[in-house]
Amino acid sequence: MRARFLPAAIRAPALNLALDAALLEGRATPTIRLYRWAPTGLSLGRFQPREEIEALRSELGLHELVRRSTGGRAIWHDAGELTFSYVAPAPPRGETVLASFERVHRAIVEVLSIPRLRFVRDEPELLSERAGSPWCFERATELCLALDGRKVLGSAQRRVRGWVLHHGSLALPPTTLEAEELEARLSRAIARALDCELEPGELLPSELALAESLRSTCAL
Amino acid sequence: MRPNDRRYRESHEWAQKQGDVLAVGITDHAVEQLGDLTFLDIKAKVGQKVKAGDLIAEIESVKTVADIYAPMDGEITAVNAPLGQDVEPLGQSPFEKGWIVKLRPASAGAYDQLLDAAAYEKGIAH
Repeated sequence: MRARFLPAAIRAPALNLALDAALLEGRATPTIRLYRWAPTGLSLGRFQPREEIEALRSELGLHELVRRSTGGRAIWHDAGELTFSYVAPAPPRGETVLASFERVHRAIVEVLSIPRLRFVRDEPELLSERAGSPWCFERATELCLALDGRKVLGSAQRRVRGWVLHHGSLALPPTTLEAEELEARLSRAIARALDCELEPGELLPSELALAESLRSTCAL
Repeated sequence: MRPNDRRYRESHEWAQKQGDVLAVGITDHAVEQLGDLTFLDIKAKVGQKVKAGDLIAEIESVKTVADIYAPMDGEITAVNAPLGQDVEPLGQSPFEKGWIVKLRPASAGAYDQLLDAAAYEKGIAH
């Protein structure tokens, strides 16, 4: 499979999510995106009650609140976080959702080659865990990735008409890798996970237009 | 072998005749694929007219949200609202306790165009 690759770009929170929604609605070309957020965004999972985060908002300062179409819990998307997404035909029949998470995360561990980056299930002690927390990075499953006792990567998916939108959020300590190197390795990792060849590309005008029209549906 | 008393869609919904309506749910295969279910949001409303393939519900499991579609044209006659409060019965018994909506088909022939159990199983085996 060949996949269009959209290199890391910085966009506003609602537009970032609206672009993924537009790609999933179009389902035309397998597409891998890396992206960052400005201004800082706070995204909630598809069914996460807004009340879980509302009480914290005054402490968190100014940000744009958005809702992902994928599952999971709240993520704080600041300059230290790198989001990736892919929109592609759903994995082979027989592969469970968890197995697809494991496939993607294993490729990330292998290709990023960061010492001590590993599955949460292999982490001796997870210090970032907080029972009942509304935050993704404080609620790990065994297939999330951890570094030095802290969850640093989580994923979520949306499945629509035989296609999947996969969201991943990576928040490594700032000194781990230069941004450009991290982005290059992460794109190679996702390509390996999907067994595809990356073709650098751009968003089509029609996709941008659709995203603009969906923007308000992502904002809260 | 999955139950022969109903029909199936490739997108993993089942439809079972109950008088002049069809009960609609998702298969055990879909449940296995998704893993532990956490939430069901039934979008369809009683009295709503739907087309085959229209979104009728969204289901969440282990951080994944999947769409559930109407198997044919018709009118929604009932929704299984308790599953919206507790989705566990659907996970435990998708064919018996997991009906999501009931639907009065717009035409009698559409049901027969769905897959029988053998055809559905052939599809998921590939």
